[in-house]
Amino acid sequence: MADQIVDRKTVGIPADVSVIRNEVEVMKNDAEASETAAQASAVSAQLSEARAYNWAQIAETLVESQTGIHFSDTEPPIIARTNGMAWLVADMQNSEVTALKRWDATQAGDAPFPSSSTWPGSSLYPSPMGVWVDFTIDSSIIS
Amino acid sequence: MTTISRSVGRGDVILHRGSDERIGVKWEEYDYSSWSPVDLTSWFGTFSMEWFGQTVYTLSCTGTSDGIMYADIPANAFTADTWKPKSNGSWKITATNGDQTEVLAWGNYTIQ
Repeated sequence: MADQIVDRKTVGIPADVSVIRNEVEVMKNDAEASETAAQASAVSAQLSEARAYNWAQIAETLVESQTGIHFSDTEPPIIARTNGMAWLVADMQNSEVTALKRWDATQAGDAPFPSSSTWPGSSLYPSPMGVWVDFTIDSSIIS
Repeated sequence: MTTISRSVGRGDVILHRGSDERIGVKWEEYDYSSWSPVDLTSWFGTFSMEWFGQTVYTLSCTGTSDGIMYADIPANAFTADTWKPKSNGSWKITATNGDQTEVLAWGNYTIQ
Protein backbone atom coordinates (compact mmCIF):
# COMPACT_ATOMS: atom_id res chain seq x y z
CA MET A 1 0.00 0.00 0.00
CA ALA A 2 1.28 3.45 -0.85
CA ASP A 3 2.19 5.90 1.88
CA GLN A 4 -0.84 7.63 3.24
CA ILE A 5 -1.05 11.37 3.46
CA VAL A 6 -1.90 12.10 7.05
CA ASP A 7 -3.03 15.54 8.00
CA ARG A 8 -5.48 17.24 10.28
CA LYS A 9 -7.40 20.44 10.22
CA THR A 10 -8.74 21.96 13.39
CA VAL A 11 -11.40 24.65 13.40
CA GLY A 12 -11.17 27.41 15.97
CA ILE A 13 -10.98 31.09 16.67
CA PRO A 14 -7.32 32.01 16.16
CA ALA A 15 -5.76 34.64 18.32
CA ASP A 16 -5.31 38.01 16.73
CA VAL A 17 -2.17 37.06 14.87
CA SER A 18 -1.33 40.58 13.77
CA VAL A 19 -1.70 41.89 17.34
CA ILE A 20 0.54 39.14 18.70
CA ARG A 21 3.14 39.84 16.03
CA ASN A 22 2.97 43.56 16.81
CA GLU A 23 3.50 42.84 20.51
CA VAL A 24 6.48 40.67 19.70
CA GLU A 25 7.86 43.47 17.53
CA VAL A 26 7.33 45.98 20.36
CA MET A 27 9.12 43.67 22.82
CA LYS A 28 11.97 43.25 20.35
CA ASN A 29 12.25 47.03 19.94
CA ASP A 30 12.21 47.49 23.73
CA ALA A 31 14.97 44.93 24.13
CA GLU A 32 17.05 46.64 21.45
CA ALA A 33 16.51 50.04 23.09
CA SER A 34 17.59 48.60 26.46
CA GLU A 35 20.68 47.12 24.85
CA THR A 36 21.57 50.51 23.35
CA ALA A 37 21.05 52.21 26.73
CA ALA A 38 23.22 49.60 28.42
CA GLN A 39 25.95 50.13 25.85
CA ALA A 40 25.79 53.90 26.43
CA SER A 41 26.02 53.32 30.19
CA ALA A 42 29.01 51.05 29.70
CA VAL A 43 30.79 53.72 27.63
CA SER A 44 29.95 56.33 30.29
CA ALA A 45 31.28 54.03 33.02
CA GLN A 46 34.50 53.48 31.09
CA LEU A 47 34.89 57.27 30.73
CA SER A 48 34.33 57.73 34.46
CA GLU A 49 36.84 55.00 35.21
CA ALA A 50 39.45 56.74 33.02
CA ARG A 51 38.77 60.08 34.74
CA ALA A 52 39.02 58.45 38.18
CA TYR A 53 42.31 56.85 37.18
CA ASN A 54 43.65 60.23 36.03
CA TRP A 55 42.64 61.84 39.33
CA ALA A 56 44.25 58.97 41.25
CA GLN A 57 47.52 59.57 39.37
CA ILE A 58 47.33 63.30 40.12
CA ALA A 59 46.70 62.54 43.80
CA GLU A 60 49.58 60.07 43.85
CA THR A 61 51.93 62.65 42.30
CA LEU A 62 50.75 65.22 44.85
CA VAL A 63 51.38 62.87 47.76
CA GLU A 64 54.82 62.00 46.44
CA SER A 65 55.69 65.69 46.14
CA GLN A 66 54.52 66.34 49.73
CA THR A 67 57.22 64.51 51.61
CA GLY A 68 56.27 66.08 54.92
CA ILE A 69 58.09 67.18 58.07
CA HIS A 70 57.71 65.34 61.36
CA PHE A 71 58.61 67.48 64.38
CA SER A 72 58.56 65.24 67.43
CA ASP A 73 60.64 63.30 69.91
CA THR A 74 59.09 60.08 68.71
CA GLU A 75 59.58 58.37 65.39
CA PRO A 76 56.71 58.80 62.94
CA PRO A 77 54.73 55.61 62.32
CA ILE A 78 55.84 53.52 59.37
CA ILE A 79 52.64 54.11 57.49
CA ALA A 80 53.21 57.90 57.60
CA ARG A 81 56.74 57.81 56.23
CA THR A 82 57.35 58.96 52.67
CA ASN A 83 60.57 59.03 50.75
CA GLY A 84 62.47 62.24 51.53
CA MET A 85 60.47 62.95 54.69
CA ALA A 86 62.27 65.05 57.29
CA TRP A 87 62.19 64.16 60.97
CA LEU A 88 63.27 66.94 63.26
CA VAL A 89 64.09 64.95 66.37
CA ALA A 90 63.08 67.29 69.15
CA ASP A 91 63.66 67.47 72.85
CA MET A 92 60.24 68.73 73.69
CA GLN A 93 61.03 69.60 77.28
CA ASN A 94 64.03 71.78 76.42
CA SER A 95 62.61 72.97 73.10
CA GLU A 96 65.66 71.88 71.15
CA VAL A 97 66.19 70.08 67.91
CA THR A 98 68.65 67.34 68.70
CA ALA A 99 68.97 65.70 65.30
CA LEU A 100 67.97 66.00 61.67
CA LYS A 101 66.96 62.87 59.86
CA ARG A 102 65.77 62.15 56.36
CA TRP A 103 63.79 59.02 55.43
CA ASP A 104 65.43 57.25 52.49
CA ALA A 105 63.01 54.62 51.20
CA THR A 106 65.49 53.38 48.60
CA GLN A 107 67.67 51.68 51.21
CA ALA A 108 66.81 48.27 52.51
CA GLY A 109 67.09 49.14 56.17
CA ASP A 110 65.54 46.54 58.45
CA ALA A 111 63.41 45.02 55.73
CA PRO A 112 64.15 41.30 55.73
CA PHE A 113 64.74 39.64 52.38
CA PRO A 114 64.44 35.89 52.02
CA SER A 115 67.78 34.20 51.61
CA SER A 116 69.33 30.80 52.18
CA SER A 117 69.52 31.64 55.87
CA THR A 118 66.22 33.52 56.30
CA TRP A 119 62.93 31.82 56.87
CA PRO A 120 59.61 33.42 57.79
CA GLY A 121 58.63 32.48 61.33
CA SER A 122 56.44 33.52 64.25
CA SER A 123 59.12 35.97 65.38
CA LEU A 124 60.00 37.37 61.99
CA TYR A 125 57.82 40.15 60.61
CA PRO A 126 58.26 41.93 57.30
CA SER A 127 59.14 45.59 57.45
CA PRO A 128 59.08 48.13 54.61
CA MET A 129 62.34 49.35 53.12
CA GLY A 130 63.90 52.57 54.30
CA VAL A 131 66.31 54.01 56.84
CA TRP A 132 66.64 57.30 58.68
CA VAL A 133 69.72 59.08 57.34
CA ASP A 134 71.29 61.58 59.77
CA PHE A 135 71.90 65.11 58.55
CA THR A 136 73.86 67.95 60.11
CA ILE A 137 73.75 71.67 59.60
CA ASP A 138 76.75 73.22 57.94
CA SER A 139 78.56 75.62 60.20
CA SER A 140 78.67 78.23 57.45
CA ILE A 141 74.95 78.90 57.76
CA ILE A 142 74.99 79.13 61.52
CA SER A 143 75.47 82.63 62.69
CA MET B 1 -18.17 -0.22 5.47
CA THR B 2 -15.44 2.30 6.22
CA THR B 3 -15.89 5.74 4.78
CA ILE B 4 -12.68 7.50 3.90
CA SER B 5 -12.19 11.21 3.33
CA ARG B 6 -9.55 13.86 3.21
CA SER B 7 -9.30 15.57 6.53
CA VAL B 8 -11.53 18.61 6.74
CA GLY B 9 -11.87 20.76 9.82
CA ARG B 10 -15.38 20.54 11.13
CA GLY B 11 -17.16 23.01 13.37
CA ASP B 12 -20.52 24.70 13.77
CA VAL B 13 -20.39 28.38 14.57
CA ILE B 14 -22.62 31.06 15.99
CA LEU B 15 -22.01 34.43 14.35
CA HIS B 16 -23.17 37.38 16.39
CA ARG B 17 -24.83 40.12 14.43
CA GLY B 18 -23.07 43.44 15.11
CA SER B 19 -19.90 41.89 16.45
CA ASP B 20 -16.51 41.33 14.88
CA GLU B 21 -16.00 37.63 14.41
CA ARG B 22 -12.99 35.55 13.53
CA ILE B 23 -13.08 31.99 12.37
CA GLY B 24 -10.15 29.95 11.25
CA VAL B 25 -8.61 26.54 10.80
CA LYS B 26 -5.18 25.15 11.56
CA TRP B 27 -3.74 22.71 9.04
CA GLU B 28 -1.02 20.35 10.14
CA GLU B 29 0.70 17.42 8.46
CA TYR B 30 2.25 14.37 10.03
CA ASP B 31 5.72 13.40 8.84
CA TYR B 32 5.71 10.00 10.57
CA SER B 33 7.31 11.46 13.70
CA SER B 34 5.62 14.75 14.56
CA TRP B 35 2.95 17.18 13.49
CA SER B 36 4.11 20.32 11.71
CA PRO B 37 2.03 23.25 10.40
CA VAL B 38 1.59 23.81 6.68
CA ASP B 39 2.96 27.17 5.52
CA LEU B 40 -0.11 28.93 4.15
CA THR B 41 1.46 32.29 3.40
CA SER B 42 1.41 31.62 -0.34
CA TRP B 43 -2.10 30.17 -0.30
CA PHE B 44 -5.23 32.12 -1.21
CA GLY B 45 -8.11 31.37 1.12
CA THR B 46 -11.81 32.14 0.88
CA PHE B 47 -14.47 32.02 3.56
CA SER B 48 -17.92 31.47 2.12
CA MET B 49 -21.44 30.99 3.45
CA GLU B 50 -24.19 29.07 1.71
CA TRP B 51 -27.90 29.29 2.26
CA PHE B 52 -30.03 26.73 0.44
CA GLY B 53 -27.32 26.06 -2.14
CA GLN B 54 -26.76 29.73 -2.83
CA THR B 55 -23.51 31.46 -1.89
CA VAL B 56 -24.60 34.45 0.12
CA TYR B 57 -21.31 35.71 1.54
CA THR B 58 -17.61 35.45 0.65
CA LEU B 59 -14.56 36.92 2.29
CA SER B 60 -10.83 36.61 1.64
CA CYS B 61 -8.82 34.85 4.32
CA THR B 62 -5.35 35.39 5.71
CA GLY B 63 -2.84 32.53 5.70
CA THR B 64 0.03 32.31 8.16
CA SER B 65 3.29 30.39 8.24
CA ASP B 66 2.10 28.49 11.30
CA GLY B 67 -0.70 26.72 9.45
CA ILE B 68 -3.61 29.03 10.19
CA MET B 69 -6.07 30.29 7.60
CA TYR B 70 -8.58 32.68 9.09
CA ALA B 71 -11.26 35.16 8.15
CA ASP B 72 -12.06 38.37 9.98
CA ILE B 73 -15.78 39.03 9.61
CA PRO B 74 -16.64 42.69 10.21
CA ALA B 75 -19.31 43.67 12.71
CA ASN B 76 -21.66 45.11 10.08
CA ALA B 77 -21.59 42.01 7.84
CA PHE B 78 -25.03 40.66 8.79
CA THR B 79 -26.87 43.71 10.04
CA ALA B 80 -28.82 44.35 6.82
CA ASP B 81 -32.45 43.24 6.76
CA THR B 82 -31.70 40.88 3.86
CA TRP B 83 -29.88 38.63 6.36
CA LYS B 84 -32.94 38.03 8.52
CA PRO B 85 -34.15 34.95 6.60
CA LYS B 86 -30.60 33.67 6.11
CA SER B 87 -29.80 33.10 9.74
CA ASN B 88 -29.01 29.40 9.25
CA GLY B 89 -26.83 27.75 6.64
CA SER B 90 -23.38 26.32 6.10
CA TRP B 91 -19.92 27.83 5.87
CA LYS B 92 -16.55 26.68 4.58
CA ILE B 93 -13.01 27.84 4.09
CA THR B 94 -11.28 26.77 0.89
CA ALA B 95 -7.71 27.49 -0.06
CA THR B 96 -5.66 27.18 -3.19
CA ASN B 97 -2.02 27.64 -4.03
CA GLY B 98 -2.58 27.53 -7.78
CA ASP B 99 -1.83 23.82 -8.11
CA GLN B 100 -3.84 22.41 -5.26
CA THR B 101 -7.19 23.37 -3.81
CA GLU B 102 -8.32 22.19 -0.41
CA VAL B 103 -11.45 22.50 1.61
CA LEU B 104 -9.87 23.32 4.94
CA ALA B 105 -12.96 23.60 7.08
CA TRP B 106 -16.70 23.59 7.02
CA GLY B 107 -19.72 23.53 9.27
CA ASN B 108 -23.09 25.02 9.92
CA TYR B 109 -23.68 28.59 10.95
CA THR B 110 -26.31 30.37 12.91
CA ILE B 111 -26.55 34.12 12.97
CA GLN B 112 -27.85 35.55 16.22
